[in-house]
Amino acid sequence: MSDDKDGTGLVSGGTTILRAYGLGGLLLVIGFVLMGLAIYKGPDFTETSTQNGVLVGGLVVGGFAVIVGLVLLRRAPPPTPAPTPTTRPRPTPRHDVYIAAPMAGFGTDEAGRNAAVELVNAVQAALRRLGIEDVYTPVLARPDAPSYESPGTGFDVEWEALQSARRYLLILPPTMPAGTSVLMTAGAAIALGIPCVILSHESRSALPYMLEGAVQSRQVNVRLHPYRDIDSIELLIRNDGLRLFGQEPA
Amino acid sequence: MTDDADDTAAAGYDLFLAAPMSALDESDYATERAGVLAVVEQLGVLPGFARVYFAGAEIGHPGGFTGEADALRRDLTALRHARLFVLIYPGKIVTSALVEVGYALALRLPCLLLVRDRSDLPYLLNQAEQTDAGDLLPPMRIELLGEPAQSARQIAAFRDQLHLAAAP
Repeated sequence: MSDDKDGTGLVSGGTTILRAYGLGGLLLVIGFVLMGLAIYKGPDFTETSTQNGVLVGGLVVGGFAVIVGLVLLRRAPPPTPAPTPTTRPRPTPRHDVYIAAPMAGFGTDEAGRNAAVELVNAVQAALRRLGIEDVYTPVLARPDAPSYESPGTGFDVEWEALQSARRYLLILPPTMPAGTSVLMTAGAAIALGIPCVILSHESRSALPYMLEGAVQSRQVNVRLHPYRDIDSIELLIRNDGLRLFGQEPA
Repeated sequence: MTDDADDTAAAGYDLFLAAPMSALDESDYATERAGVLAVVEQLGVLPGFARVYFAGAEIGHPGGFTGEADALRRDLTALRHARLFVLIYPGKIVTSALVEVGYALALRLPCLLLVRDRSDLPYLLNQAEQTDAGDLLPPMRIELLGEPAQSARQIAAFRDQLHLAAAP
């Protein structure tokens, strides 16, 4: 083994200890190594005074490093215990479907927002024709179109509605507005194990990376259906019903 | 990489670090990735951050984000085995990192969101910090994004405060 490799190994080992135990752990190890070297290598020197110097110096410096290392380790905070995911039970299902739609993606003007409201209402009506009555939509929470994507409704209302939903339906417009809340609610729905359906406008090129992965994955229940207009969504819901979510109708 | 990631996931991550990556163009990707890696490096010298998960750590260019289903599995596994979630959000963007925030919040993973401008965040996230939803949400805080060393200190302080809060 070459010297270079030895040096690389030492640096690598030191880095590993530093990352695992911090500076305190590294100093502790260095201290013990110095003391060991002083005891092991000190007698190799020919002159007694040099032997004593190496022995005493190594023990003093090594001992000091050990003490500082111990102090630093004692001051370091203990690791935070890992949380147990979803330890609390979800609320009793209250909403049959939670509908999410990035309103700003349908147009930032009044006409765009009205188109979004019309689309959400049409989906809600199509679901109701299947007998799915309890549908949570942003329309219920924010009756006025301009109040979408603005802090008009308390977070707790939306979050509780999502947690108590049996199904999650995301309607994506041709363009996704940056910084939209629906990506966050989609992630939460996936974490909660809620069956998800994404209705994506056919002109959209691609889903965000994680959602694309969710659609492809068998690990989570996320299904993708393209749509062209309101009529095509109504037809899809009428034909597929709850099979949209991977469920057979009762 | 997959096996290593799975092994580490089983042991638990000290931190899951999310940031917009796959949606960025080549030049922005290099800049933002370097910024996040600098935070990871700064965290490395702090105690208790030996195992940090950052999906972009080993992907040098945006074209490297392939195999979405496998990536999702790795990310979700890491999230479920993480103690802390941090989002680095440099600007308003359509990003999967926001999906990860929602996932982390639903898992009740303590969340720290580092942003350049609070108004860039989805309105629900801004509301989440302001609302009194203690029973519904994990500890969550929004802070301004600064230099890597400062970000590392903010993350460590958030972690330490959680520990103190949990102490009897």
